[in-house]
Amino acid sequence: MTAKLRVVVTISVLIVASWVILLLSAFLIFAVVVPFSAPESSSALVKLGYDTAKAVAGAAIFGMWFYSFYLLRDSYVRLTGSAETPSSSSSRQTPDENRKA
Amino acid sequence: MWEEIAASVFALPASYVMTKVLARYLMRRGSVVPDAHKAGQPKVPRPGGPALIVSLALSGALIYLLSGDLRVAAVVLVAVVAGAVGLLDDLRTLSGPVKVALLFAGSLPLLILETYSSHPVLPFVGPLRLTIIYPFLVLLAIPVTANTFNMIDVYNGLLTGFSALATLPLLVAFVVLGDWAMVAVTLAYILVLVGFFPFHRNPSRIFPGDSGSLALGAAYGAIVITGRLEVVGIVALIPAVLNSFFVLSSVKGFVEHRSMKKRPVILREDFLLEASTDRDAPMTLSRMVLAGGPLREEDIVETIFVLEVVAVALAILTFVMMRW
Repeated sequence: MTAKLRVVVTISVLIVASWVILLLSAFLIFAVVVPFSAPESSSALVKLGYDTAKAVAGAAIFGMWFYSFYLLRDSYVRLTGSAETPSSSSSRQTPDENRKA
Repeated sequence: MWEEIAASVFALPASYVMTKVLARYLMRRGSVVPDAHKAGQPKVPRPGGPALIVSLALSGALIYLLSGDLRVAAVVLVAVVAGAVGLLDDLRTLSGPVKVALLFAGSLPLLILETYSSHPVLPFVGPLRLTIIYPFLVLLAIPVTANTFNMIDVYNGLLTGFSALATLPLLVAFVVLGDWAMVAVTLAYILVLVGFFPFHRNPSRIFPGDSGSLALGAAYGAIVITGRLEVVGIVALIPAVLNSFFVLSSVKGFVEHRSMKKRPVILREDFLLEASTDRDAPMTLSRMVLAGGPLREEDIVETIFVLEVVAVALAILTFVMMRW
């Protein structure tokens, strides 16, 4: 496989991965988290607990979706072996001379 | 239906003739910028955005007169407002945050004319009820799409070719839905780009400038919102969204590209482009494309078009899943 083709295939995989993550996140938020609610007869405190849990779960899924972009970027660096492209991994920011043998 | 489609076809000659006239006028007036990726850095007229905006506005006005559909008027108004902000930026460079703030005005036609539905449709989920939050999302959406298009306007022909490809799934979806007013305005949008492309492709004879890129991005956002194809529209833009995210996460905020100190891509003496080896340089889609080795400008554009075709296929698949 030529280097150019390898890059095209790798970024295409990245595009498909971000599509799957987008649909999965939207599905989890709107089909799983949003309909999750306390029974009508529950006390105000229980309802508040349910709503807080929904907000936390929604924020967590949104955060994971956002973080997945960093993971995709790092996967790209690993797959193409392009050491010069930045990565969110802190070990990559360490100057070579400071690394342990 | 056929009258509206015929009115949209007017966009093609209008865009072609206006771009040709504008390119000559700008060249005579000395409103030119160097094409940094070419030998001798030839001067290229800029901004070509007014030709894109006026031809879309004229054909959009015709479609509106024939269909009476307010959504068509909203798409045109959004493009005009965002284009005006872009023109201001072309004439007097605005800072990144100021430009984003002004672009919020681009969302107002959609909100004032109420040409949106608070029930966007998600695949496998169906229509959502976002009565309270959706207007705020509309307010955000136009600056986001406008800037996403603005950030990919870096090579000859890339913006116009990419925009035309990204709009194809929307056109297919509107035809399947039988939404003819939206078919007409989407077709007009694509034909405006087809008329402009011969002047913008490599070697460019005109650059759209921020007036062009912001108007195109805002109009795309308006078509997606008024046509209730939000998810299809987002999926079709994935390569540009990835580009925006990588740039914003690298530079940590809205920074005007002219003020970026470290360039993601370096021009070699043989006019091939290569990825910067500086770890602090921003990450962009073109820098990722160049990970395989140095390329000519037209090869980078061609590669991004191939990637966009992948996104277009996924967007059409998403539409099929929405109808399931």
